[in-house]
Amino acid sequence: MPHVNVNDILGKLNELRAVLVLGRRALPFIEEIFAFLQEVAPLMEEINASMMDSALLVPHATSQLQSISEATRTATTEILDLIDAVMVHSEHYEGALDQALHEVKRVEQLNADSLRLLRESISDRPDVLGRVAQNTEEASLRLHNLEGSVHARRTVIDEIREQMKRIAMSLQVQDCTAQQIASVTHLLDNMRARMAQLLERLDRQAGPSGYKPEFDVPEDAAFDPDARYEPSEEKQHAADVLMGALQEANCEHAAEPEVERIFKSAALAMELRRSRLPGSE
Amino acid sequence: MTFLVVDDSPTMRRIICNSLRDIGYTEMHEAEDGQDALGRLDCTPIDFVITDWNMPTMNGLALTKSIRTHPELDEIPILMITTRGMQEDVVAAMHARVNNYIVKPFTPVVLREKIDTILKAA
Repeated sequence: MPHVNVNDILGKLNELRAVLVLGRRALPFIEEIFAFLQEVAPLMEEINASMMDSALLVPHATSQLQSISEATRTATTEILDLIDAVMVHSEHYEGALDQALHEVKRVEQLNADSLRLLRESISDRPDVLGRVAQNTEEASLRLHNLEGSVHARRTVIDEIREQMKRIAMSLQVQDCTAQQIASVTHLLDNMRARMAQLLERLDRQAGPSGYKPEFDVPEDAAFDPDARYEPSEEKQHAADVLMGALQEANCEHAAEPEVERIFKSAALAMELRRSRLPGSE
Repeated sequence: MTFLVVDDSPTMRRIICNSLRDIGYTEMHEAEDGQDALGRLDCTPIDFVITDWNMPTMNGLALTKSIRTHPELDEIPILMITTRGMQEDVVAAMHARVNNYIVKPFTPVVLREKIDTILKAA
């Protein structure tokens, strides 16, 4: 029989007692944790279910956004078609007005010629010549009024054409909003991918959730997430100032500090411009 | 003067082409991304490229870089029209060697001004 040191046994017993004491003290705390987990478990399940619902709703949201984008593109094309049609009609109308002006001038010329011929051929009939001259003068006045009216119509047509062009330029808003929508769609797709990953992990730990992702997030994002429709000259001016400064400094391959210096001087130029704008204090 | 208008948005291509016609230019071709543009540049004589930045397959910046490394196309004027108006975007476009830069939404006046500036410098 091997020799056993009683002191060692007592030491071990002391350790065991310490563990038991610790266990007794820790027991209420462990029970609390257990109760907490029992309470939290349904909540976690609810979160899981809610995540799955959200993940299933994302494709619907993205498809709706895409259909909005498609609809605005179609509507924009229709508006541009109509603008083109109005421009063609107005061009024809303008041509007709120009022709009318030409005819007015021609009639004025014919009247003047007729009066001159009469003066030459019947100079002995001043009474008739007087009547004809009076009639010609009235006809000339009426033609002048007609000419004024045609000019006024031409001005209106020019204004309509100008406004049509402005409407067409405003349709750039479609490109900006399409990029914003593409940006949101991309964000939603990324969220969906993250949710899919999370649900897949939950699946592995707690059995299948039934949600299977069936897509890949496209990597080449062909949109500007910061696209804004802001028809002001400010952004263009800022780009012009910077472009000019870079060109002047021949900075096509400028180092970072040089570009930074140009940034600062461009920003200063922008500030100066802003302070000179009316209403800026 | 023959233009190549590169933009993935048909609306923008149409607006740019209409503006060019308004300014007085009549010869123009269209491409919907950088790769399409390179294909057209290979088979059609083009004098001036107007390109967007954000496009699928090949974006405007990559197209510019590709044109600038092409032995026969490297001198072609390139005007970029984009929604990107941040300083670093302008610098990146400049490094890629675009000739000028327009921030959308643009006006025909600005378009004419930039084309004239580029052509005068050429």
